[in-house]
Amino acid sequence: MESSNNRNVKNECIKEPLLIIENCEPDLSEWLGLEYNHVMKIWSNTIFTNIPESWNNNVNIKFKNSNANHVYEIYSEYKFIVLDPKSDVTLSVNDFSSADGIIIGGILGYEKFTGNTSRYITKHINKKIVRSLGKIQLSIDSAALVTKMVLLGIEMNDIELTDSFEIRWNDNESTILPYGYVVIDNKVIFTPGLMEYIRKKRDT
Amino acid sequence: MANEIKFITENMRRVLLKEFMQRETQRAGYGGVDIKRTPLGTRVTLTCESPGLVIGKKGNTIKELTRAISDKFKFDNPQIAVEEARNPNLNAQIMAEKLASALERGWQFKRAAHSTVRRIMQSGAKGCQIMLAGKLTGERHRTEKIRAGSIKYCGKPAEIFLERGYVGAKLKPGILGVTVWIMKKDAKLPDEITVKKSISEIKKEESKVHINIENKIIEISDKDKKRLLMKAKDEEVVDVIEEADADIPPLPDNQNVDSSSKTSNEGGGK
Repeated sequence: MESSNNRNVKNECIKEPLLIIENCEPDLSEWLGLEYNHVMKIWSNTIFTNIPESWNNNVNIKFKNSNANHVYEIYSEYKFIVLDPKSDVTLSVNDFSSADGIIIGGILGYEKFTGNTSRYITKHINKKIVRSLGKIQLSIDSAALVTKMVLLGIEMNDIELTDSFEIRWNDNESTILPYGYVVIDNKVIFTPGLMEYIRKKRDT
Repeated sequence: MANEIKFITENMRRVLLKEFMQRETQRAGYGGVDIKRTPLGTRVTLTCESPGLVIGKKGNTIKELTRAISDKFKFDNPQIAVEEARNPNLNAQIMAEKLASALERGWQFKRAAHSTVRRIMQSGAKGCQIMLAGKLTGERHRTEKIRAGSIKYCGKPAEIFLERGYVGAKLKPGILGVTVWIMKKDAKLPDEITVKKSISEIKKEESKVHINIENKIIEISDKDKKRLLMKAKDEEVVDVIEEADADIPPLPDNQNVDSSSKTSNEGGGK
């Protein structure tokens, strides 16, 4: 009880650092929109970079804060934590004290890491602390959630993640998403609206 | 260490040969290849849907294939044997190839997969599973799993009765992995037990005979029947008994009746 109180006090004291989602996708798909929307709910102080201006008129998503330029063009003087799966060092709460913000790649990844984050983001940033969120391929919103949990003082080893997520439609059919999702109190934190989207896509 | 390298290179050579054969005999309905080393050389047994296409006119195609194997993969004296798949619908590799081809032709993945599952199950498979992995519909990789019947994923039954076939379907958004698992028709799982009848029970059943006299079914032993026949001969009523034997009504609920009715018919014939 005491420890939870302490944690609450700690939560209130921590100011959310800037979370930057550097978009690397050429098109704004519905799936991407759902994940970006969830990120905005998880992390209030978020900015989306490399967002084409035409995307601001999209029905699926309303960006609170977005920029058409790349993150390394806007914030060239700042020091950021870059979340890159290629790094061997995992993110810890101490890393936040020496950085001005965190960068997550806005990439709809594949089943395995393909090195897109290091290719499109890490190698362009001058001042950086490169960290990873483990060896599981996370969705963009899950990465934001894990980062927030680390910021709140939970260690990476204590965060429960799924290897993959299986949606069973009936006895004979199921869809497996090979991405990591956060599990809190035996409940998977899944992107809102994604299940309906997949159901719709399966029938088309 | 040297031994490990030897095993790895040998297996790599086999995998490359399998891929080569798959590529070359795709049109003939490739259904798997078995490579065995014999004292005379290497025996490559190819299973396919239409062996005629693999053999070619006067065996030209197969000769070319043999030459290519010995040149490219350095197998000693390769001999190719072509085998026709007895039931293509129960060959996992052939079904995977067919499904991949349907997807490449623009079939909706769910429709194609369900049609394949139906075809496999109608051919008598105990179970089957289809997995399609890649950018199906949508922007991100996902895996769709469709199954029917019973499938064993591990243990001895999986090793013996489960057959797996894999093909990559080339679509516009990228390559789609098509994997088909088929649980064989004759698969008998370890928990399927049939209790055999004891010898005394079988003897007892064999000795019992049903006869129909004046619309009443009477169960008597074989010895009694013989005695009855002997008596009937003396009293000249043997015809009645034989006629009664011929039209014994069937009793479906009792297994004993089936076996005994056979016995009684035989008895009548004598």
